[in-house]
Amino acid sequence: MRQLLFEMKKMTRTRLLFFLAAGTLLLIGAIFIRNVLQQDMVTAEKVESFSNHLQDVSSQNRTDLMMMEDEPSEELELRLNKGLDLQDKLNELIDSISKGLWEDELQGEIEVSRSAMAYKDARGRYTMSHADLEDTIRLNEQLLALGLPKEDPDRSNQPPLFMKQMMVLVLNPVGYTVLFLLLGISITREFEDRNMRMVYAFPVPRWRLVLVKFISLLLVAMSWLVYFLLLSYLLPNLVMETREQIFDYPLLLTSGELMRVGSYINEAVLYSAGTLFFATAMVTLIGFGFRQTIVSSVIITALFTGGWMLARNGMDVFLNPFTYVSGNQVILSQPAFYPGGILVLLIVSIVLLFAAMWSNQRRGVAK
Amino acid sequence: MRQFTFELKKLMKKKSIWIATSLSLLSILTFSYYHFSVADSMRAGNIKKKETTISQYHLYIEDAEAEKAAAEKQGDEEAAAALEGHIERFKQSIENQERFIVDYTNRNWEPILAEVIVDLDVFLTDRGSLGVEDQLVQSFTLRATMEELQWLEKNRVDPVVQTTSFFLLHPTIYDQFTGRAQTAWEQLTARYGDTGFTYFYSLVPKFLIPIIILFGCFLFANSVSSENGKKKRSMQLHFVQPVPRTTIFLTKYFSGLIITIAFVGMMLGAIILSGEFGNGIGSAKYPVLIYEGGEPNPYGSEYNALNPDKDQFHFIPVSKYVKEVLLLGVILTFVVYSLYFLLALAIRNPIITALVTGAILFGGMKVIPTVAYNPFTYVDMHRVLNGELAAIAFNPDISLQSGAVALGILGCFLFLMGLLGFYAKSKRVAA
Repeated sequence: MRQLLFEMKKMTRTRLLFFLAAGTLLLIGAIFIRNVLQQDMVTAEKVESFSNHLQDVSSQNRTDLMMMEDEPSEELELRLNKGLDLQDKLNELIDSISKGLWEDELQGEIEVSRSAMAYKDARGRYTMSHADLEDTIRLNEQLLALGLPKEDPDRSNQPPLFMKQMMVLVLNPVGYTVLFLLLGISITREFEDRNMRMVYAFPVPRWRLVLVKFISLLLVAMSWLVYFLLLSYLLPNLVMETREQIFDYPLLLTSGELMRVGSYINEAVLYSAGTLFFATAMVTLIGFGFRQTIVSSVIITALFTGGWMLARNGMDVFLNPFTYVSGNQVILSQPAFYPGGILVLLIVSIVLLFAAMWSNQRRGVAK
Repeated sequence: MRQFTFELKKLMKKKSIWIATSLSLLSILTFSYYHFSVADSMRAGNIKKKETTISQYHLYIEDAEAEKAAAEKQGDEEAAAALEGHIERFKQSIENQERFIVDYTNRNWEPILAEVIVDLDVFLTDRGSLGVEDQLVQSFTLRATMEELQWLEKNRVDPVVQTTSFFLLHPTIYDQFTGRAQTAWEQLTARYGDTGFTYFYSLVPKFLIPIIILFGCFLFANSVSSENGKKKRSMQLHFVQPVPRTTIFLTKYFSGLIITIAFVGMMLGAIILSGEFGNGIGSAKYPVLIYEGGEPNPYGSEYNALNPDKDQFHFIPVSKYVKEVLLLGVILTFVVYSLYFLLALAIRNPIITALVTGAILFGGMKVIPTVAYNPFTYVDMHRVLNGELAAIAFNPDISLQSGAVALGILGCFLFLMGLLGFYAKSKRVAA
């Protein structure tokens, strides 16, 4: 216990933790401010998108009208009727968006989607597939049932959606690589400064030294994760008005199913904790194995990059721990991996930790 | 000169540097090997798809023959003749697929390209009718794809590995898909270079070169910070020698810079040579798309918009592209190295220095507006050299030449700041 406290004191006294905390605060603050400033753009982009659809549909209606005058047919008449109906609904929708009437907007989007599907069935052209239109209807019906307006997932200031955005931005292979490059210094620096010679001379089993170092690193990493999540939650919560039931906001998975954002955050937090466990064990093994900052950094970077490449090219399998480093990807595309994936991470971590403890048991320190 | 040689020797004698360099090289080669394996799997997948199609056609022929037999038995000659026609068409399709498999396996691209060009031509003459999940492929993309295919056919260059089910389309900035169409488009146009040059070309847009430069700086630009730590103060020894501080700075600076440039060159060379794991180094005539942009709107810049029907483009051989990348890469190395060296005077930890340097480079690229005189614009080397940034910003001044000047000026400024910082630091180093 004393040893662990000593290791924690050593870590907290370095400027590294301060830079890590300050950097995290700066990043979260910058993204939050960017989201606040871009709220008007969200409305403008929605209006532009539906205006493009409106332009397309009304152009087709004009053509159909002219064709009806030359060569009327039942099919053409049906398409024209559907097209005019769609055109009216698009106009109403754009009006609701411009006026900020979110309930009317959601309902309007449902009606536009239904009308668009009927228009496409009548051989009209609408640049969204049936599947996308059905997804829109399902999402909007769920939002109306919950009493929540639609949010832009990349620019929302509601706490759970902002947390999700930050988690996607930071808790990925690049973020973990940066974090563990910084934390790994605490092991390699002691070898480079030759402090380890003194430490190894103490009557303390080497495996315990490795274990204590691992635990201290893990505690720091977990503390950072808690700090990061708290900051991502508190900043929007304190500054903006939080909607009720916002944690029930539905997210669309790759399979087309809906998932509560609260459930997403639960899974993402657990995957992140598991990944921190795994990465800490990996860094402990590498740090104690190579004992050199530059070499260890190269290996850590190569492993995270290689793991990302494997996961991206079809090797995102259940037993591959690097699959879970891209937490967002695995939650959206491999929901069946939860919660077994966390167990995989823990088991691999324990194996790596034992490897680190065993390999350093008899190894001395070079003069 | 002796001082310079001495600094070089110090760098070369560090075992950790050699180990780190070897590991970096090994990592690059391992990633390259894996990439070429994936490309190979994709090729095998394309062949498998055709074989599955052939099996399906065989089933259709069996069904049609059964129906034909039934029709003949009932005396329905018209139906029997129609079914006979279907059977002939299915047999012809099987022949086509089998011929494709043979040509594709043997990399005999001429007949394949000729057929794709004929098929794609239909959609060029009847513009706007090619879609992905009900969203249209822009005419710019179709025209660029056609010209690329014609270039490949004329110069007898193998295309990159891509799904063969959809005209070997070349993705461009003119297509803005949403929803499932975007996912489908990304799958249809995912390209895997299976030669050295095409692999290198596919990595440049992913900021390969700035990352390798940053890595090189991390390895070789710590000559001041490593000698001025809490426990290692060999810098003090330098300052008591009868050597001008300018000489000390210049020798440390240039020894690291030259080795960093050599390191970056070695890594990029390894990427191109790793093509031997795949289909060789490849043809230097592989086509690279260059955007020429559009005409500015006469009513004001706020109305500027890309026109997929009228905007032009051209292709250049990949050898020319690689030369431009290497030239811009050398100048970028000078800037990044100077910035890293300057920051390393204040920050002793090389990892933090590398992270701060990276944050400044990529942050500057994202935050500062994309204009010709912003040196951080040129960190995104690929989009500068292929004209994409110039086309989007309607600013033809964003080019290699402007980049060389802007980066050169920034590099010289950072170099001077580094020199001044070194002087200031040398005064603070305790006796």
